[in-house]
Amino acid sequence: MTEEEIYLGTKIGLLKRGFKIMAGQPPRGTDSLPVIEIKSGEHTNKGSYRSYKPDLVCYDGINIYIIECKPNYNYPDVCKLLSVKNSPLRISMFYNELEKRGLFEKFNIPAAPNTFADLLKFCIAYSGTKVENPDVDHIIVSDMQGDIAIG
Amino acid sequence: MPTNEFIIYYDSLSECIWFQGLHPSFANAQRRLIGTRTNNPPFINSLLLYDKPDIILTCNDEPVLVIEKTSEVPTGHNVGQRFARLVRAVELGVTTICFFPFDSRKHGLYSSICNLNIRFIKAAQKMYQIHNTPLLAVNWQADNRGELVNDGSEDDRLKEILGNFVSSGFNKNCNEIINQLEYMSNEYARRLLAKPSYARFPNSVLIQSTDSFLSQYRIANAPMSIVNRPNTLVYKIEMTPDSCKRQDPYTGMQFIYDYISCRTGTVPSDKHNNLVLHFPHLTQSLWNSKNPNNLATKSSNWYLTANILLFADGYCINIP
Repeated sequence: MTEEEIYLGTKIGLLKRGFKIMAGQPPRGTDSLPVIEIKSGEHTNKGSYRSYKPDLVCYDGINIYIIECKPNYNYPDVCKLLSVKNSPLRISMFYNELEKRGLFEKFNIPAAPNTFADLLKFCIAYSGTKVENPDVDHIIVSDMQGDIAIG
Repeated sequence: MPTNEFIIYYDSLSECIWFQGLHPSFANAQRRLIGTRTNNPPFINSLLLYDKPDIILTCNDEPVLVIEKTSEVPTGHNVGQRFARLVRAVELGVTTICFFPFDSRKHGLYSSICNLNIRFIKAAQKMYQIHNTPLLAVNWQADNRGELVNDGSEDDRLKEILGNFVSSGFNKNCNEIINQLEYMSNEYARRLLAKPSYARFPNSVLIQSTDSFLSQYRIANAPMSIVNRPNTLVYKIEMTPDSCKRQDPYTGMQFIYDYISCRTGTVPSDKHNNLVLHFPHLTQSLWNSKNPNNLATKSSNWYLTANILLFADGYCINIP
């Protein structure tokens, strides 16, 4: 499967399971979703310096998932997710980004700055055999029609 | 009665699937990824000559529609970013729709609401007069915070237009296309009233008499076609030597100024004013090394319509 197919399969699969898709950016072109940029928080004149745009951000009624999509298991994507997970500054930048776009209100998410990190889950989506890595959650995508396994 | 066979040529699968949802006839259409400039059927390659659009719809192997979708507001100079590919489609008589927000919030360090540069509409109106083919601007609505609507209703107007376009047998002047052109005219008038500076050109554009232009830059060998046009539009492009191997948004902007102020007919030589691209920071030799007229690349877009390319140390007469 291509990266685009993983993106679409993940998105459709999550929608089928009742997730709300809050934001996202397909590998190519434009989707109808807002594109979220998680800034580094480092002081710089360049607003996008070391910023990171998650492929998908979604909500299952309890947790907010940041998801990276690739055709196969991709360790650099894990590192990308961990760079947010392990950085309180980046998590607060992510909170600000969702807040200023009105996405907490839109999806009725009871988020507060001091507990926001507890809501977050970090996830990689790919096809093929699951590669064990307990640092992140995994979505295994079987097809573009949304056949996925979350674990 | 023969049935219509639709094929959707696409650049992004997400956009292709989105497009298929806009009309029931497209749901079972074949999907084909657009290849590089020369690796498609000839009628598709021809549409790609200036740049690659997002979606090309063919019906029985005839291109009937080009669609461009972007979530970015074509504000200021950015309006030229995608324009060349739209021009190409209209030149070839293919109905073209650009779906984008007319007003929406730009996020970042200095977040604010950005508004459409209405020269897009002005150029589209002129293109319709010249080519009898519409370039429709369809507004991707934003909410009262300036965030783009994405609950599905943002596509409603597109669905109306496409519904009428398909049922009319792809009539370029079907009711909903005419209605949309009228909407664009009203938007132009309304926005011009709000921002009268759009009636003038920006500081990067100067219209002067051809005599004074040719004399100022000591251009002695201009062909009579250039000399005989009374006025010359000079579009100053402030690219620096470090970043001069590029086209966007300038080659799109050249078409906007061309159609608004120079063009009178379907081919680029049909002009009542000359069009000059002025690069005050670049030498001719640097230019030639970075932006040759190579049809295999987008750098050939620099040579599509301008009459003269003017450099810090010389000029080049261009026959578009």
